[in-house]
Amino acid sequence: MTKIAIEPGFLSIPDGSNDLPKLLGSRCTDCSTVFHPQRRVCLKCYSQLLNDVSLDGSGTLYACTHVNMKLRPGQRTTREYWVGHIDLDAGPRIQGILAPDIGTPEIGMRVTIALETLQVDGEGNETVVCHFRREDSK
Amino acid sequence: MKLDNVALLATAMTPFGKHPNKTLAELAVDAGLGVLREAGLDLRSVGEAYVASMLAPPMLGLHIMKQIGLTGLPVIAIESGSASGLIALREATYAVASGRCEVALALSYEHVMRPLGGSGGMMPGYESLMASPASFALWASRRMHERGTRQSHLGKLAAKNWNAARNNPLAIYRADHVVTAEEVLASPMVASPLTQMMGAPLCGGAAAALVASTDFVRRSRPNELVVRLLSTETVTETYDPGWIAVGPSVGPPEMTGAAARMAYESAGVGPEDLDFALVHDSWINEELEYYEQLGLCRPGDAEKLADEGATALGGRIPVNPDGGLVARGHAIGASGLAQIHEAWLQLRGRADKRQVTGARTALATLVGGGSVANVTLLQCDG
Repeated sequence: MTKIAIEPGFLSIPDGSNDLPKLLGSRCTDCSTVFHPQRRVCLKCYSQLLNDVSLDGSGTLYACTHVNMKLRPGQRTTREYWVGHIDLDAGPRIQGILAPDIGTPEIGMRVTIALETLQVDGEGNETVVCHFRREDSK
Repeated sequence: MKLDNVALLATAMTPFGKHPNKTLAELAVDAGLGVLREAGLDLRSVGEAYVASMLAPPMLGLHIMKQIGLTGLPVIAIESGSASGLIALREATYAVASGRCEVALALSYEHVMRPLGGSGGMMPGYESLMASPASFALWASRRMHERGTRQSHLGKLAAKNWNAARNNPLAIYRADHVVTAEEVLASPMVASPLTQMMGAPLCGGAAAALVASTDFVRRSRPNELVVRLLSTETVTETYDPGWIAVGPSVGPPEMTGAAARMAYESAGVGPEDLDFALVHDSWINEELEYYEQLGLCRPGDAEKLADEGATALGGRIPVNPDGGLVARGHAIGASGLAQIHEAWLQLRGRADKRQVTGARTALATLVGGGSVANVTLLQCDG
Protein backbone atom coordinates (compact mmCIF):
# COMPACT_ATOMS: atom_id res chain seq x y z
CA MET A 1 0.00 0.00 0.00
CA THR A 2 1.68 3.16 -1.19
CA LYS A 3 0.76 6.73 -1.97
CA ILE A 4 1.31 7.68 -5.59
CA ALA A 5 1.14 11.29 -6.82
CA ILE A 6 -1.30 11.82 -9.66
CA GLU A 7 1.64 12.77 -11.83
CA PRO A 8 5.37 12.47 -11.09
CA GLY A 9 7.51 15.55 -10.70
CA PHE A 10 5.17 17.87 -8.82
CA LEU A 11 5.08 16.62 -5.28
CA SER A 12 7.20 14.77 -2.72
CA ILE A 13 5.21 12.47 -0.47
CA PRO A 14 6.50 12.27 3.11
CA ASP A 15 7.35 8.95 4.79
CA GLY A 16 6.01 9.90 8.19
CA SER A 17 2.28 10.51 8.54
CA ASN A 18 2.86 13.74 10.48
CA ASP A 19 5.20 15.26 7.90
CA LEU A 20 3.89 17.69 5.29
CA PRO A 21 4.31 17.03 1.59
CA LYS A 22 6.61 19.36 -0.31
CA LEU A 23 6.28 20.85 -3.76
CA LEU A 24 9.05 19.98 -6.18
CA GLY A 25 10.60 23.00 -7.81
CA SER A 26 13.75 24.53 -9.24
CA ARG A 27 15.97 27.42 -8.10
CA CYS A 28 18.11 29.29 -10.62
CA THR A 29 21.73 29.35 -9.45
CA ASP A 30 22.35 32.60 -11.36
CA CYS A 31 19.37 34.81 -10.43
CA SER A 32 17.84 32.79 -7.52
CA THR A 33 14.33 32.77 -9.03
CA VAL A 34 12.29 29.81 -7.78
CA PHE A 35 9.84 27.89 -9.96
CA HIS A 36 7.14 25.28 -9.46
CA PRO A 37 6.92 22.88 -11.14
CA GLN A 38 10.51 22.07 -12.07
CA ARG A 39 12.05 23.84 -15.05
CA ARG A 40 15.01 23.05 -17.30
CA VAL A 41 15.68 26.69 -18.10
CA CYS A 42 15.26 29.79 -15.97
CA LEU A 43 12.36 31.70 -17.51
CA LYS A 44 13.68 34.95 -16.07
CA CYS A 45 17.39 34.94 -17.01
CA TYR A 46 17.63 31.90 -19.33
CA SER A 47 20.33 30.18 -17.29
CA GLN A 48 20.25 26.40 -17.56
CA LEU A 49 21.95 26.01 -14.19
CA LEU A 50 19.01 25.18 -11.96
CA ASN A 51 18.96 23.11 -8.79
CA ASP A 52 16.09 20.86 -7.78
CA VAL A 53 14.49 22.14 -4.57
CA SER A 54 11.66 21.08 -2.28
CA LEU A 55 9.35 23.94 -1.45
CA ASP A 56 7.32 24.44 1.69
CA GLY A 57 3.65 24.58 0.80
CA SER A 58 2.73 27.57 2.92
CA GLY A 59 1.48 30.78 1.48
CA THR A 60 -1.21 33.41 1.05
CA LEU A 61 -4.39 33.04 -0.98
CA TYR A 62 -4.32 35.44 -3.95
CA ALA A 63 -7.62 34.49 -5.65
CA CYS A 64 -10.23 31.74 -5.30
CA THR A 65 -13.32 30.28 -6.92
CA HIS A 66 -15.82 27.56 -6.05
CA VAL A 67 -16.14 25.23 -9.02
CA ASN A 68 -19.51 23.50 -9.33
CA MET A 69 -18.02 20.70 -11.41
CA LYS A 70 -16.39 17.51 -10.28
CA LEU A 71 -12.67 17.47 -9.70
CA ARG A 72 -11.34 15.18 -12.38
CA PRO A 73 -8.22 13.05 -12.35
CA GLY A 74 -8.46 12.14 -16.01
CA GLN A 75 -12.17 11.48 -16.45
CA ARG A 76 -12.98 10.20 -12.93
CA THR A 77 -15.07 12.38 -10.70
CA THR A 78 -14.79 12.94 -7.00
CA ARG A 79 -16.08 16.20 -5.57
CA GLU A 80 -16.88 19.84 -6.22
CA TYR A 81 -14.08 22.04 -5.07
CA TRP A 82 -12.57 25.40 -4.34
CA VAL A 83 -9.45 26.29 -6.30
CA GLY A 84 -7.07 29.14 -5.64
CA HIS A 85 -4.00 30.98 -6.70
CA ILE A 86 -1.53 30.87 -3.83
CA ASP A 87 1.51 33.07 -3.37
CA LEU A 88 3.94 30.61 -1.77
CA ASP A 89 6.28 31.99 0.88
CA ALA A 90 8.96 30.18 -1.12
CA GLY A 91 8.40 32.44 -4.11
CA PRO A 92 6.19 31.30 -6.96
CA ARG A 93 2.47 31.85 -7.39
CA ILE A 94 0.78 28.52 -8.01
CA GLN A 95 -2.69 27.18 -8.72
CA GLY A 96 -4.04 24.56 -6.35
CA ILE A 97 -7.22 23.01 -5.04
CA LEU A 98 -8.37 23.89 -1.55
CA ALA A 99 -9.34 21.42 1.17
CA PRO A 100 -12.94 20.14 1.16
CA ASP A 101 -13.48 21.62 4.65
CA ILE A 102 -12.01 25.03 3.78
CA GLY A 103 -15.38 26.74 4.41
CA THR A 104 -15.59 30.05 2.58
CA PRO A 105 -12.03 31.12 1.87
CA GLU A 106 -11.00 34.77 1.85
CA ILE A 107 -8.36 36.36 -0.34
CA GLY A 108 -5.34 37.13 1.85
CA MET A 109 -5.86 34.18 4.23
CA ARG A 110 -2.93 31.93 5.14
CA VAL A 111 -2.97 28.38 3.74
CA THR A 112 -0.71 25.36 3.94
CA ILE A 113 -0.32 22.12 2.02
CA ALA A 114 -1.77 18.66 2.81
CA LEU A 115 -2.38 15.42 0.92
CA GLU A 116 -5.76 14.33 -0.43
CA THR A 117 -6.54 10.83 -1.66
CA LEU A 118 -8.36 10.88 -5.00
CA GLN A 119 -8.85 7.11 -5.31
CA VAL A 120 -7.72 3.78 -3.89
CA ASP A 121 -7.11 0.74 -6.11
CA GLY A 122 -7.87 -2.92 -5.28
CA GLU A 123 -4.49 -3.35 -3.59
CA GLY A 124 -4.92 -0.32 -1.37
CA ASN A 125 -2.61 1.96 -3.36
CA GLU A 126 -3.70 5.57 -3.13
CA THR A 127 -3.58 8.14 -5.90
CA VAL A 128 -2.97 11.43 -4.11
CA VAL A 129 -2.91 15.11 -4.92
CA CYS A 130 -2.02 18.04 -2.70
CA HIS A 131 -4.53 20.57 -1.54
CA PHE A 132 -4.32 23.65 0.63
CA ARG A 133 -6.05 24.07 3.97
CA ARG A 134 -6.34 26.91 6.45
CA GLU A 135 -2.97 27.29 8.13
CA ASP A 136 -4.48 27.09 11.59
CA SER A 137 -6.60 23.98 10.91
CA LYS A 138 -5.52 20.41 11.51
CA MET B 1 4.81 43.99 -39.39
CA LYS B 2 3.15 46.75 -41.40
CA LEU B 3 0.92 45.45 -44.17
CA ASP B 4 0.10 47.69 -47.10
CA ASN B 5 -1.10 45.47 -49.90
CA VAL B 6 -3.30 42.75 -48.35
CA ALA B 7 -7.09 42.64 -48.24
CA LEU B 8 -9.95 40.24 -47.69
CA LEU B 9 -11.31 38.82 -50.93
CA ALA B 10 -14.22 36.92 -49.39
CA THR B 11 -15.39 35.17 -46.21
CA ALA B 12 -17.90 32.46 -45.41
CA MET B 13 -19.12 30.57 -42.39
CA THR B 14 -21.58 27.82 -41.54
CA PRO B 15 -24.07 28.20 -38.73
CA PHE B 16 -22.49 27.54 -35.33
CA GLY B 17 -24.25 24.78 -33.44
CA LYS B 18 -24.22 21.10 -32.55
CA HIS B 19 -24.51 19.79 -36.12
CA PRO B 20 -25.42 16.22 -35.12
CA ASN B 21 -25.96 15.21 -38.75
CA LYS B 22 -22.77 16.62 -40.26
CA THR B 23 -19.22 15.40 -40.06
CA LEU B 24 -16.36 17.75 -39.35
CA ALA B 25 -15.12 17.33 -42.92
CA GLU B 26 -18.56 18.18 -44.33
CA LEU B 27 -18.69 21.38 -42.30
CA ALA B 28 -15.19 22.34 -43.44
CA VAL B 29 -15.93 21.68 -47.10
CA ASP B 30 -19.13 23.75 -46.80
CA ALA B 31 -17.08 26.73 -45.62
CA GLY B 32 -14.25 26.14 -48.10
CA LEU B 33 -16.54 25.93 -51.11
CA GLY B 34 -18.63 28.75 -49.68
CA VAL B 35 -15.77 31.21 -49.59
CA LEU B 36 -14.64 30.29 -53.11
CA ARG B 37 -18.22 30.77 -54.36
CA GLU B 38 -18.39 34.15 -52.64
CA ALA B 39 -15.19 35.14 -54.48
CA GLY B 40 -16.32 33.66 -57.80
CA LEU B 41 -13.23 31.44 -57.93
CA ASP B 42 -12.22 27.82 -57.68
CA LEU B 43 -9.18 26.38 -55.98
CA ARG B 44 -6.97 26.92 -59.03
CA SER B 45 -6.71 30.60 -58.08
CA VAL B 46 -5.47 29.86 -54.55
CA GLY B 47 -1.71 29.72 -53.99
CA GLU B 48 -1.55 28.45 -50.40
CA ALA B 49 -4.01 27.10 -47.84
CA TYR B 50 -3.85 27.30 -44.04
CA VAL B 51 -6.23 24.90 -42.30
CA ALA B 52 -6.93 25.25 -38.59
CA SER B 53 -8.68 23.36 -35.82
CA MET B 54 -7.96 22.52 -32.21
CA LEU B 55 -9.53 19.07 -31.99
CA ALA B 56 -9.44 17.67 -35.52
CA PRO B 57 -7.78 14.28 -35.98
CA PRO B 58 -4.36 14.12 -37.66
CA MET B 59 -4.23 14.72 -41.43
CA LEU B 60 -7.86 15.83 -41.65
CA GLY B 61 -6.91 19.22 -43.11
CA LEU B 62 -5.24 17.60 -46.10
CA HIS B 63 -8.21 15.28 -46.56
CA ILE B 64 -10.61 18.24 -46.50
CA MET B 65 -8.60 20.23 -49.02
CA LYS B 66 -8.57 17.24 -51.40
CA GLN B 67 -12.35 17.46 -51.50
CA ILE B 68 -12.13 21.10 -52.57
CA GLY B 69 -9.59 20.47 -55.32
CA LEU B 70 -6.40 18.71 -56.37
CA THR B 71 -4.22 21.57 -57.53
CA GLY B 72 -1.08 20.54 -55.68
CA LEU B 73 -1.05 23.69 -53.55
CA PRO B 74 0.78 23.75 -50.20
CA VAL B 75 -1.61 22.99 -47.31
CA ILE B 76 -0.35 23.86 -43.83
CA ALA B 77 -2.19 22.76 -40.69
CA ILE B 78 -2.35 25.04 -37.66
CA GLU B 79 -3.36 24.40 -34.06
CA SER B 80 -3.27 27.29 -31.61
CA GLY B 81 -6.22 26.49 -29.36
CA SER B 82 -9.12 28.92 -29.57
CA ALA B 83 -6.95 31.36 -31.51
CA SER B 84 -6.35 28.87 -34.35
CA GLY B 85 -8.59 30.66 -36.86
CA LEU B 86 -6.90 34.03 -36.42
CA ILE B 87 -3.48 32.38 -36.63
CA ALA B 88 -4.50 30.74 -39.93
CA LEU B 89 -5.55 34.18 -41.17
CA ARG B 90 -2.19 35.56 -40.06
CA GLU B 91 -0.31 32.96 -42.07
CA ALA B 92 -2.51 33.44 -45.14
CA THR B 93 -1.96 37.19 -44.81
CA TYR B 94 1.81 36.83 -44.67
CA ALA B 95 1.76 34.39 -47.60
CA VAL B 96 0.25 37.20 -49.68
CA ALA B 97 2.26 40.02 -48.09
CA SER B 98 5.52 38.19 -48.79
CA GLY B 99 4.65 37.85 -52.45
CA ARG B 100 4.60 34.05 -52.32
CA CYS B 101 1.09 34.02 -53.75
CA GLU B 102 -1.62 36.42 -54.82
CA VAL B 103 -4.49 34.59 -53.11
CA ALA B 104 -4.33 32.48 -49.93
CA LEU B 105 -7.04 30.57 -48.09
CA ALA B 106 -7.58 30.36 -44.33
CA LEU B 107 -10.05 27.60 -43.46
CA SER B 108 -11.03 26.62 -39.92
CA TYR B 109 -13.39 24.01 -38.58
CA GLU B 110 -14.42 22.30 -35.37
CA HIS B 111 -16.87 19.68 -34.25
CA VAL B 112 -17.17 18.94 -30.56
CA MET B 113 -19.55 15.99 -30.83
CA ARG B 114 -17.87 13.70 -33.30
CA PRO B 115 -14.10 13.80 -33.25
CA LEU B 116 -13.72 13.39 -29.53
CA GLY B 117 -15.51 11.78 -26.66
CA GLY B 118 -14.56 14.49 -24.22
CA SER B 119 -11.75 16.97 -23.99
CA GLY B 120 -10.36 15.64 -20.72
CA GLY B 121 -7.02 13.96 -20.93
CA MET B 122 -5.71 16.53 -23.39
CA MET B 123 -3.02 17.38 -20.91
CA PRO B 124 -1.21 15.32 -18.31
CA GLY B 125 -3.04 14.55 -15.08
CA TYR B 126 -1.94 17.47 -12.97
CA GLU B 127 -2.69 20.00 -15.71
CA SER B 128 -6.17 18.69 -16.49
CA LEU B 129 -7.19 18.19 -12.87
CA MET B 130 -8.99 21.49 -12.62
CA ALA B 131 -11.79 22.53 -14.97
CA SER B 132 -10.83 25.34 -17.32
CA PRO B 133 -13.59 27.75 -16.17
CA ALA B 134 -11.63 27.97 -12.93
CA SER B 135 -8.84 29.88 -14.67
CA PHE B 136 -11.17 32.68 -15.71
CA ALA B 137 -13.10 32.59 -12.45
CA LEU B 138 -9.79 33.18 -10.66
CA TRP B 139 -9.21 36.29 -12.79
CA ALA B 140 -12.69 37.45 -11.86
CA SER B 141 -12.12 36.71 -8.18
CA ARG B 142 -9.00 38.85 -8.09
CA ARG B 143 -10.54 41.66 -10.10
CA MET B 144 -13.54 41.82 -7.76
CA HIS B 145 -11.12 42.01 -4.82
CA GLU B 146 -8.95 44.73 -6.35
CA ARG B 147 -11.42 46.79 -8.39
CA GLY B 148 -14.77 46.27 -6.78
CA THR B 149 -16.17 44.62 -9.91
CA ARG B 150 -19.65 43.28 -9.18
CA GLN B 151 -21.24 40.15 -10.52
CA SER B 152 -23.92 42.42 -12.00
CA HIS B 153 -21.31 43.94 -14.35
CA LEU B 154 -20.68 40.47 -15.74
CA GLY B 155 -24.41 39.85 -16.02
CA LYS B 156 -24.92 43.04 -18.02
CA LEU B 157 -22.16 42.23 -20.49
CA ALA B 158 -23.30 38.64 -21.01
CA ALA B 159 -26.89 39.85 -21.57
CA LYS B 160 -25.54 42.32 -24.15
CA ASN B 161 -23.97 39.47 -26.12
CA TRP B 162 -27.02 37.22 -25.78
CA ASN B 163 -29.18 40.02 -27.16
CA ALA B 164 -26.76 40.76 -30.00
CA ALA B 165 -26.96 37.12 -31.11
CA ARG B 166 -30.73 37.45 -31.48
CA ASN B 167 -29.96 39.33 -34.72
CA ASN B 168 -27.35 36.85 -35.99
CA PRO B 169 -28.90 34.02 -38.03
CA LEU B 170 -25.70 31.97 -37.73
CA ALA B 171 -25.55 32.11 -33.90
CA ILE B 172 -26.12 29.02 -31.77
CA TYR B 173 -28.27 30.94 -29.27
CA ARG B 174 -31.07 33.15 -30.57
CA ALA B 175 -33.20 33.94 -27.54
CA ASP B 176 -36.89 34.55 -28.20
CA HIS B 177 -36.96 37.36 -25.64
CA VAL B 178 -34.78 40.19 -24.40
CA VAL B 179 -32.22 38.62 -22.07
CA THR B 180 -31.67 40.54 -18.83
CA ALA B 181 -28.69 40.66 -16.52
CA GLU B 182 -30.91 39.14 -13.83
CA GLU B 183 -31.59 36.11 -16.04
CA VAL B 184 -27.85 35.65 -16.60
CA LEU B 185 -27.19 35.87 -12.85
CA ALA B 186 -29.96 33.37 -12.09
CA SER B 187 -28.53 30.68 -14.40
CA PRO B 188 -26.61 27.86 -12.66
CA MET B 189 -23.27 28.76 -11.09
CA VAL B 190 -20.30 27.13 -12.84
CA ALA B 191 -17.31 28.64 -11.03
CA SER B 192 -18.07 31.56 -8.75
CA PRO B 193 -18.75 34.30 -9.79
CA LEU B 194 -19.32 32.90 -13.29
CA THR B 195 -22.73 31.49 -14.19
CA GLN B 196 -23.62 29.26 -17.11
CA MET B 197 -24.96 32.11 -19.27
CA MET B 198 -21.64 33.97 -18.85
CA GLY B 199 -19.73 31.18 -20.60
CA ALA B 200 -19.38 30.26 -24.25
CA PRO B 201 -20.99 27.03 -25.46
CA LEU B 202 -18.44 24.83 -27.21
CA CYS B 203 -19.98 23.88 -30.53
CA GLY B 204 -19.29 22.93 -34.12
CA GLY B 205 -18.95 25.07 -37.18
CA ALA B 206 -16.57 26.18 -39.90
CA ALA B 207 -15.46 29.52 -41.26
CA ALA B 208 -13.12 30.62 -44.02
CA ALA B 209 -11.47 33.69 -45.48
CA LEU B 210 -9.69 34.32 -48.75
CA VAL B 211 -6.89 36.85 -48.54
CA ALA B 212 -5.45 38.51 -51.63
CA SER B 213 -3.32 41.40 -52.73
CA THR B 214 -5.27 44.66 -52.72
CA ASP B 215 -4.76 44.90 -56.48
CA PHE B 216 -6.27 41.45 -56.99
CA VAL B 217 -9.28 42.36 -54.83
CA ARG B 218 -9.83 45.60 -56.76
CA ARG B 219 -9.71 43.70 -60.07
CA SER B 220 -12.00 40.92 -58.79
CA ARG B 221 -14.51 43.17 -57.10
CA PRO B 222 -14.60 46.42 -59.06
CA ASN B 223 -16.70 49.19 -57.55
CA GLU B 224 -16.87 47.38 -54.20
CA LEU B 225 -15.49 48.49 -50.85
CA VAL B 226 -12.06 46.97 -50.10
CA VAL B 227 -11.51 45.53 -46.60
CA ARG B 228 -7.80 45.82 -45.94
CA LEU B 229 -5.85 43.81 -43.38
CA LEU B 230 -3.86 46.48 -41.57
CA SER B 231 -1.98 44.23 -39.15
CA THR B 232 -2.08 40.87 -37.42
CA GLU B 233 0.13 40.38 -34.39
CA THR B 234 0.60 37.29 -32.25
CA VAL B 235 2.25 36.83 -28.86
CA THR B 236 2.73 34.04 -26.35
CA GLU B 237 3.41 34.38 -22.63
CA THR B 238 6.27 36.30 -21.12
CA TYR B 239 7.57 35.70 -17.62
CA ASP B 240 6.48 37.88 -14.75
CA PRO B 241 6.55 37.15 -11.03
CA GLY B 242 2.82 36.34 -10.99
CA TRP B 243 3.16 33.82 -13.81
CA ILE B 244 1.22 30.60 -13.21
CA ALA B 245 2.92 27.55 -14.68
CA VAL B 246 0.40 24.85 -13.88
CA GLY B 247 -3.24 24.41 -14.74
CA PRO B 248 -5.29 24.86 -17.90
CA SER B 249 -4.28 28.48 -17.95
CA VAL B 250 -4.93 31.15 -20.50
CA GLY B 251 -3.33 34.45 -20.04
CA PRO B 252 -2.57 36.62 -18.29
CA PRO B 253 -4.87 39.28 -19.85
CA GLU B 254 -1.81 41.45 -20.45
CA MET B 255 -0.94 39.14 -23.38
CA THR B 256 -3.83 40.66 -25.31
CA GLY B 257 -2.60 44.11 -24.37
CA ALA B 258 0.86 43.32 -25.71
CA ALA B 259 -0.51 42.02 -29.00
CA ALA B 260 -2.81 45.05 -29.29
CA ARG B 261 0.02 47.54 -28.81
CA MET B 262 1.99 45.79 -31.54
CA ALA B 263 -1.02 45.67 -33.87
CA TYR B 264 -1.86 49.37 -33.37
CA GLU B 265 1.74 50.38 -33.97
CA SER B 266 2.04 48.24 -37.12
CA ALA B 267 -1.23 49.55 -38.50
CA GLY B 268 -0.73 53.19 -37.57
CA VAL B 269 -4.15 53.35 -35.95
CA GLY B 270 -5.19 53.50 -32.30
CA PRO B 271 -8.12 52.36 -30.22
CA GLU B 272 -9.78 55.74 -30.78
CA ASP B 273 -10.05 54.85 -34.49
CA LEU B 274 -12.04 51.66 -33.91
CA ASP B 275 -15.72 51.51 -34.81
CA PHE B 276 -16.28 48.08 -33.22
CA ALA B 277 -14.34 45.16 -31.78
CA LEU B 278 -14.71 41.38 -31.76
CA VAL B 279 -13.27 40.20 -28.48
CA HIS B 280 -12.58 36.87 -26.78
CA ASP B 281 -15.34 36.14 -24.26
CA SER B 282 -15.18 32.43 -23.56
CA TRP B 283 -16.11 33.70 -20.11
CA ILE B 284 -17.58 37.18 -20.00
CA ASN B 285 -15.13 38.63 -17.47
CA GLU B 286 -12.48 38.32 -20.16
CA GLU B 287 -14.35 40.89 -22.23
CA LEU B 288 -14.18 43.26 -19.26
CA GLU B 289 -10.42 42.76 -18.90
CA TYR B 290 -9.82 43.25 -22.61
CA TYR B 291 -11.66 46.61 -22.72
CA GLU B 292 -8.70 47.97 -20.80
CA GLN B 293 -6.03 45.86 -22.49
CA LEU B 294 -7.22 46.98 -25.94
CA GLY B 295 -7.39 50.62 -24.88
CA LEU B 296 -11.17 50.88 -25.35
CA CYS B 297 -11.15 52.68 -22.00
CA ARG B 298 -8.61 53.78 -19.42
CA PRO B 299 -7.36 51.21 -16.89
CA GLY B 300 -9.96 50.92 -14.15
CA ASP B 301 -12.85 52.19 -16.30
CA ALA B 302 -14.05 48.88 -17.76
CA GLU B 303 -16.88 48.56 -15.25
CA LYS B 304 -17.97 52.09 -16.14
CA LEU B 305 -18.13 51.03 -19.81
CA ALA B 306 -20.35 48.12 -18.78
CA ASP B 307 -22.59 50.35 -16.63
CA GLU B 308 -23.02 52.88 -19.45
CA GLY B 309 -23.82 50.27 -22.08
CA ALA B 310 -21.05 51.79 -24.19
CA THR B 311 -20.17 48.46 -25.81
CA ALA B 312 -23.70 47.55 -26.92
CA LEU B 313 -24.87 48.15 -30.48
CA GLY B 314 -25.47 51.91 -30.71
CA GLY B 315 -22.98 52.61 -27.91
CA ARG B 316 -19.64 54.43 -28.19
CA ILE B 317 -17.68 51.30 -29.15
CA PRO B 318 -19.79 48.19 -29.84
CA VAL B 319 -18.11 44.94 -28.80
CA ASN B 320 -19.19 41.56 -30.16
CA PRO B 321 -22.14 42.72 -32.26
CA ASP B 322 -22.42 39.13 -33.54
CA GLY B 323 -23.07 37.77 -30.03
CA GLY B 324 -19.45 36.88 -29.25
CA LEU B 325 -18.35 33.46 -28.16
CA VAL B 326 -20.96 33.60 -25.38
CA ALA B 327 -23.97 33.54 -27.71
CA ARG B 328 -22.82 33.23 -31.31
CA GLY B 329 -21.05 30.14 -30.00
CA HIS B 330 -17.46 29.00 -29.68
CA ALA B 331 -16.48 26.54 -32.38
CA ILE B 332 -12.99 26.71 -30.88
CA GLY B 333 -10.57 26.70 -33.84
CA ALA B 334 -13.22 28.18 -36.13
CA SER B 335 -14.15 31.15 -33.93
CA GLY B 336 -11.41 33.45 -35.25
CA LEU B 337 -12.56 33.27 -38.85
CA ALA B 338 -16.16 33.67 -37.67
CA GLN B 339 -15.02 37.01 -36.24
CA ILE B 340 -13.44 37.87 -39.59
CA HIS B 341 -16.68 36.94 -41.36
CA GLU B 342 -18.51 39.35 -39.05
CA ALA B 343 -15.94 42.08 -39.73
CA TRP B 344 -16.35 41.50 -43.49
CA LEU B 345 -20.13 41.94 -43.24
CA GLN B 346 -19.95 44.94 -40.93
CA LEU B 347 -17.27 46.81 -42.85
CA ARG B 348 -19.17 46.37 -46.10
CA GLY B 349 -22.44 47.51 -44.50
CA ARG B 350 -24.13 44.12 -44.84
CA ALA B 351 -24.77 43.13 -41.22
CA ASP B 352 -28.52 43.84 -41.40
CA LYS B 353 -30.15 44.42 -38.02
CA ARG B 354 -26.86 44.30 -36.15
CA GLN B 355 -25.06 46.76 -38.43
CA VAL B 356 -22.69 49.17 -36.66
CA THR B 357 -23.50 52.46 -38.37
CA GLY B 358 -20.64 53.79 -40.46
CA ALA B 359 -18.26 51.02 -39.44
CA ARG B 360 -14.88 51.52 -41.09
CA THR B 361 -12.18 50.18 -38.74
CA ALA B 362 -12.42 46.95 -36.74
CA LEU B 363 -10.39 44.86 -34.32
CA ALA B 364 -10.61 41.10 -33.82
CA THR B 365 -8.85 39.32 -30.98
CA LEU B 366 -8.75 35.86 -29.49
CA VAL B 367 -6.61 34.05 -27.00
CA GLY B 368 -5.82 30.37 -27.14
CA GLY B 369 -5.03 27.98 -24.33
CA GLY B 370 -1.42 27.16 -23.91
CA SER B 371 -1.31 30.16 -24.33
CA VAL B 372 -1.31 32.57 -27.29
CA ALA B 373 -3.03 35.86 -28.21
CA ASN B 374 -3.66 37.46 -31.58
CA VAL B 375 -4.95 40.92 -32.46
CA THR B 376 -5.97 41.65 -36.05
CA LEU B 377 -6.94 45.08 -37.42
CA LEU B 378 -9.05 45.60 -40.52
CA GLN B 379 -10.15 48.75 -42.31
CA CYS B 380 -12.50 49.51 -45.15
CA ASP B 381 -11.29 51.84 -47.89
CA GLY B 382 -13.67 54.55 -48.96
